[in-house]
Amino acid sequence: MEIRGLRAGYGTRVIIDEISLALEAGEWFALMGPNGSGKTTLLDCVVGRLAVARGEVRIAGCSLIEDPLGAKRQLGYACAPESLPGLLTARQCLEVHAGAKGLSSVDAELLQFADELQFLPYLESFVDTLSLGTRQKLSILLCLLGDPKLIVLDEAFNALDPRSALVVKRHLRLRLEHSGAAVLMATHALDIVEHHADRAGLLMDGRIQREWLQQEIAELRLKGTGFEAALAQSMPQ
Amino acid sequence: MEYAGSGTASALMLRNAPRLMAGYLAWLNRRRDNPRRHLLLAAALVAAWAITAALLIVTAQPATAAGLAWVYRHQFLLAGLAACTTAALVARRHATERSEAARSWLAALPVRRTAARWESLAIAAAPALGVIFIVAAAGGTAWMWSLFASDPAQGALAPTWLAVTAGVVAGAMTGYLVPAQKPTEVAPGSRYVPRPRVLGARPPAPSLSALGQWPVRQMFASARPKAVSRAVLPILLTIPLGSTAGAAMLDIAMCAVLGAVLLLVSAITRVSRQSARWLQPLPLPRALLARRLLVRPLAVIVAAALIAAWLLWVMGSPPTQALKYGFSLLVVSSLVAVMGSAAAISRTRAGPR
Repeated sequence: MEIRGLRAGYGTRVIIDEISLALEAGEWFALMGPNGSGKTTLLDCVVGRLAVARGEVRIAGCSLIEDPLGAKRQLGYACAPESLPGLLTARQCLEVHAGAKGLSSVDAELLQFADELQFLPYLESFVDTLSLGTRQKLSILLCLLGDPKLIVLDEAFNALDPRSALVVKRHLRLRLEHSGAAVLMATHALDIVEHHADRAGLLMDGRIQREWLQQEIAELRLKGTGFEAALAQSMPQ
Repeated sequence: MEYAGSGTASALMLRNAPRLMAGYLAWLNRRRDNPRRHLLLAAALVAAWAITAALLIVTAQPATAAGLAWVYRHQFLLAGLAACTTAALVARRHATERSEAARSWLAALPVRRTAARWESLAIAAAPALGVIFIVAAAGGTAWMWSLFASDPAQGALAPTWLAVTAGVVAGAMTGYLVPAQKPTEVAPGSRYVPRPRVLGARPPAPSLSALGQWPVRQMFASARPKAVSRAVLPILLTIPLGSTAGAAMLDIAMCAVLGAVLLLVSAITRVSRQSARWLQPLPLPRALLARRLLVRPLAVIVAAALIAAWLLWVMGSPPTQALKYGFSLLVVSSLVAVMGSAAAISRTRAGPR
């Protein structure tokens, strides 16, 4: 994925400006930042939910503006659990997503992952009867349908229990290693940044102010202060 | 803490009533966003009232005189009706207000018991204020007419107006004092939707057909049993005395068909907006989404139009006329559904959150 000179906002209010970011295949990028710094706005631009004012987003070589269908074929996005349709069953949500992505079948690997997440018993349930965590699992499953090359997650671990969260993290790491996908994830969870991310960026005042590589994060963790302190220092009062 | 409107007399009065204060501030914010809208609405209401009054005075003098004479004679009946209506409105609002107050974001605030009681009364009795306003407007119109027409019974107007207003006040107090029902949890919408058949343990197969089921399910979800039972009552009241059970059943069936079409058309627009937003990050062309959303609901509308035509024929309309009305229903509802869906989908794509 490649973002170049991205500017976006709501009405006349600019939220993010001059954002440039490139993700290699197999890379896990954690996007951090204070509340209201524009993390979700940036992800909305990347998945085509928000029209950009300036700049370009390319996913697996396809421009999101010039070839939106081509770009979206390579994309998996875990929407907020409350955005899922309450009157469809979980099975139907999977079927609609698979149909919209033009798949010939739902891959067995994903169903196995659903089984690991203990989601299969809820397949015939209406979404509005599912708990928040179960909806979050469904959202992640929908995101991973069709082997996307870019996986976009917006605080997707928030409602998950620790066991399910660990299963998802391990599965994502496996996908990065075997299918060459990249993960772009907005999060406040420092354990994900410290243990799973290959790179982390701090979004503030509409720009990515600072980036850390995995090695730097590991070094900071080994020092007495830790990554949390380094992150706090990077955020001015 | 200082904020917009905090220094006004109204804000100072509401300082001890947090829910009223929150409502007042929200109203101030809405007015700030679009200050002309309220003025335009008020002007439109006054203009509509003035035109109605002028028409009554100028064009329908004998009918208006007869109507007013009827009102004078039945003032206690009208007062009773006003009392019953207001009591029902206030009791319902009070019940809703009680259940919402317990879950409100302001529920944990320390509010004095007397202040909370007054606040609750003010919120619950708001419909009574509306009824009093309407009664006052109607009384004002009648008073203008009686002046213009030198109505001999002009003196009866004030007691009638007073009786009806007293009825509203008494109804509001009675409605407020109705004891609370057992609290019930709000049910998920899918509770009222027919469950899909489960055909064994098969893996999900890619298909967009569920999109067509969604508006139909939304229609069922909107037609909750309580709403349906409430809708049936006025229908029953409109059936004249002496009607046969068969005729009444036909009336109810016709209302059910028209209600279902109305709910389905509104469901199509709502679902189009939701689905377009949900499926926005997917490579799904707009036209395909619209087609998948519309095909099944339009088939339901065709079936409803045929049933409506058949019901009209059974009710005694000539076959050609029944077909004409059925066709009109089909065309109008399909057009509204298609246009609503297209507008919702095109407006949702790549827009702001």
